[in-house]
Amino acid sequence: MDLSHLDDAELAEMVVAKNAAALEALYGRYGGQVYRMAYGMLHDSSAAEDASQEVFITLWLRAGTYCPEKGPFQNWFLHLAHNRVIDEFRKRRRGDRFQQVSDPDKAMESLVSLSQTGEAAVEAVFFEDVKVALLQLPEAQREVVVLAYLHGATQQEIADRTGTPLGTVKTRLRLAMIKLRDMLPHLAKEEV
Amino acid sequence: MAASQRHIEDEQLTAYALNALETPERLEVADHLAICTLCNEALAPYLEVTASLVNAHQPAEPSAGLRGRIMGATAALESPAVPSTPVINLAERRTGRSAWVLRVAATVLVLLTAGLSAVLAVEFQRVSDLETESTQLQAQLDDLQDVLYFTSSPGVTTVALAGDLPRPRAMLMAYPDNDLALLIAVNLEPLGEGEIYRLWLVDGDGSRYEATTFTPDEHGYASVWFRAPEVVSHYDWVRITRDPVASTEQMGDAALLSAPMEMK
Repeated sequence: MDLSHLDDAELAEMVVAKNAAALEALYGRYGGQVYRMAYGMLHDSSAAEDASQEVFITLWLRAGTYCPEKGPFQNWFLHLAHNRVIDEFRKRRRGDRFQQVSDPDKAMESLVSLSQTGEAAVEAVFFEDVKVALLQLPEAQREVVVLAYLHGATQQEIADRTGTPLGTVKTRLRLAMIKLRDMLPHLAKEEV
Repeated sequence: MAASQRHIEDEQLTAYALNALETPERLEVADHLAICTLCNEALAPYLEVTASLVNAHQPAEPSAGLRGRIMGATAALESPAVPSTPVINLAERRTGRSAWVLRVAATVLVLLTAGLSAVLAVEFQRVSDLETESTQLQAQLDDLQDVLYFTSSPGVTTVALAGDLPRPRAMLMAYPDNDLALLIAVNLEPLGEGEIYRLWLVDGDGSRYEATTFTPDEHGYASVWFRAPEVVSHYDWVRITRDPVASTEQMGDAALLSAPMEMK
């Protein structure tokens, strides 16, 4: 069934009615982005595929919560997808804590990985305009964005990890998002 | 003003967009976003930032099998009665046995390998099924948390629907001055082929509006969010009917469940 003429919102409506072809069409449009995000965060192809699968099963089960009046499907769905991948990331991080107890080398490796919040992490994960935009942020603001977006850290966890007051973390995150908003929004539309 | 009715600060919106809020705060924000147009408008540009970040990851390709895995998992969710575990018929493989020792040895080797593959296939499938079930349960939990936060929000009013049949019951929950509402129904009878449940809102002059349609699960349970054309307290009655899917927009006379909208 060729559904390429339908827009995302129409496909989402069909998914609510349990139309598998519509889900497959949405996978065709967004499966690549979701996988690349999951891989960029989890650094493991198998885990990234598992997380991608969970994202699309969640879409299958919760497409009815999308409301077109609130904005484009893409923004709603990619936000949901990021949330699901963060869940997977946090699950694995909890597993790492157990590993750290018995394996000091792994623990150090994990800490080094988690401390990659600066230019190296941005260079490794992102490309083109987004990378440029992130690198233009003041270092302290880039750090909170990378910790939240790539490492799934909450504001409180960022405050704990960096020894920064919670209020400062919130302010930095807000300022960073405002700057990125001014530099980035056109990208989301181009990539559809 | 109740937490769910207070507008969300920009710092919370930006953190919500990046999924950086602790779960209780995230649910509180989501609860408010469900009813507030202004905050959704304020959130929209930050969701675009998140979408831009997602769209800008370095190239990486999933395996060709991922699409099939996902479609298989969703199909399994819809057809739980269909056995999803692959069956490998070892008896058929045994037909190659012969008197030749070498052939027997080779056959035994094949059998061992096949047996191991079968065990591994079953185990992989079992893990995959558990992961699917876990995701399904997580989605149900998210739904229940949404419901819990909504129903416990100050200002939310409940209307209880009843009918002639003793078992089916339903509740409509809403802020009287908002168009968003939640319907929860229990003990509904299973629908026949081509049937659907419809929720109607009836206003003072008798005009009827089909607010939503729904299908209960195998336990007769349904929860459905919907938006009414007007604020919920505008209507005088709420009714649920059981109709053919293809029926017209006219509500039949026989309501399965109904109640006056006493929330004004």
